[in-house]
Amino acid sequence: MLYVCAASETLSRFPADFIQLNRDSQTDVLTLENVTPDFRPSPSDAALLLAPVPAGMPEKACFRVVRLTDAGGRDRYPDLLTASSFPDAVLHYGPETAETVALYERLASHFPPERLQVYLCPGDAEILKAVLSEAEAFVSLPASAEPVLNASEQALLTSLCGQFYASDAMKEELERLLIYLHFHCADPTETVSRFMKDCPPVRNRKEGKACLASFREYCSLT
Amino acid sequence: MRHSVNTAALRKSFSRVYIEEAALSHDKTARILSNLPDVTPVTVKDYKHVFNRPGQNAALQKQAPALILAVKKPPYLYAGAPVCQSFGEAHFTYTSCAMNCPYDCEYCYLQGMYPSGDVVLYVNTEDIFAEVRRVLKEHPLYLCISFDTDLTALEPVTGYLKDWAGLAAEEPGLTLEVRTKCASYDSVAVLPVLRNMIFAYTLSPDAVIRAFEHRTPSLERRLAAVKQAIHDGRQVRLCFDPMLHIPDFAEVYGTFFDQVFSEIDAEAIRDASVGTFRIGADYLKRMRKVRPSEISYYPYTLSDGVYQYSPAENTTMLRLAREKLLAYLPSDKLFFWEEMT
Ligand code: SF4
Repeated sequence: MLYVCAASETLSRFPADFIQLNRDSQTDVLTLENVTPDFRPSPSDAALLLAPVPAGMPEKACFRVVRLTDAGGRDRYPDLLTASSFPDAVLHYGPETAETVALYERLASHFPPERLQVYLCPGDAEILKAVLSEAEAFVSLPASAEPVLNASEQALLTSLCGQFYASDAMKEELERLLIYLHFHCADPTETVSRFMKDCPPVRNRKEGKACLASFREYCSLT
Repeated sequence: MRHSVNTAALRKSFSRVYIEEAALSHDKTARILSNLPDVTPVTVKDYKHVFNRPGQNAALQKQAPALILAVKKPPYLYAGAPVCQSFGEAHFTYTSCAMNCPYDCEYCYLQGMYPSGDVVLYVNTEDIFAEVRRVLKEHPLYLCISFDTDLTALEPVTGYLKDWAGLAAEEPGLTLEVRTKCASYDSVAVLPVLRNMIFAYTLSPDAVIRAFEHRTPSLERRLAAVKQAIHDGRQVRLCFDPMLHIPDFAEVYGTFFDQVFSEIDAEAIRDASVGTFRIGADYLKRMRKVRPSEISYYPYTLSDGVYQYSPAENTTMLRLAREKLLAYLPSDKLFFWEEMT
């Protein structure tokens, strides 16, 4: 489910048919004031927060997913307020400041940062629809930005790094090789243990490097 | 469900159309929009505001790409990159009247090149044509027009191939290469048959198509299109590029080459090109970020800023291709990309 969220004040500026127009089973419009502390989105849910485009901000800023780095925008557009505690900083304008920011923060407390996107968005119906069609794709993102390697593959990586006396560069390469195996084989752990069975004992980094070179070749041949 | 892009699907496939202000009054814009009757375009000042904005997920956008109509600024022609097969042409050049394509190949370098999965069409092709005509006064030109896109797949919406064919018909010094995986022959069938317009069909074994060339037509359908092009007397090139180092490589590709030439009259094709997968280091870095996969994380060898298979792997793959293909084609019709091996 994708929750399209905005403060009631913001929603009221959007065209009346917007909410109905875009509603389907996968999308729900949520007024921020209605987000209560017991709101429990599922891990696969995501939220798209629509914040109004500050007055005077160029069109370029529309469609943008706001990131913390954009906080610098405050210098250029002095009527913007940055909610610094917000995971993806929300730029905000006008007299509704503190209250709306509190609403943004409450919404943010219900979603992990990677499941929440914030768009600065003018009240134009077509642009809203454009933003929404993108957000609908966004909801199909994996539930969290977890690393590619699962827990047992991570453990395998740690163990290989130890066994190979790996430097940082070797560790990076081992990680890349395990990611390759993650996508390439049904059981990377099994593939690695087959390699390790024939691998001569490694007593120092130099031998570890040699072993890594054979592991690289082994991976490309699997 | 796996489906290939066809006219109707293409018309429906653009989730949204953005038009740069400067492109609004352009006749190509009107033509393209007339082919997309169900869309309500959004006007933007500069296409880069949409295409280059931060925080995009190109892999996701590929699932429901937007179409962006824009005006291209010079330069209009580019010298071919070293990773490209030049076919021994002295003035090997490419142009880009579109960025991104409706297909979704996992190995596509465009994922490492563009920040967005949306498709951009430049509507001022007359400016590109004018530049081509200017250069032709100095020397002949070998021009690839479908490098950063698949113009044949986009033809039902753009009509650009028809325009290019018109130019090629008037300019004998111009040779066009149209690289494609598109099996829908309708858009090609209506074009004049020209000696200086080469249709370069990329062919891969079905196992590769199924695993890595998402939304593209099957080998069978591509071969059917090749046969029609040959039947019509067109210049046809077969591109076995990129070859991928997959398990059972020798068997899969061996059978594949035999299958291709059991159906295609080798004498009727202009030539064939062969190359193994390679990609610029910067592009691969970005690809790993946007699309971690067994393609992007393969343990390649880095040589002169290009990631590619190890010399031993390249030699094995290219040797197999050479042995197989020489059974069907004379060596002067075969072009190998093996600069780095
Ligand atoms: S057909 Fe070519 S341009 Fe299109 S996605 Fe595949 S490799 Fe990329």
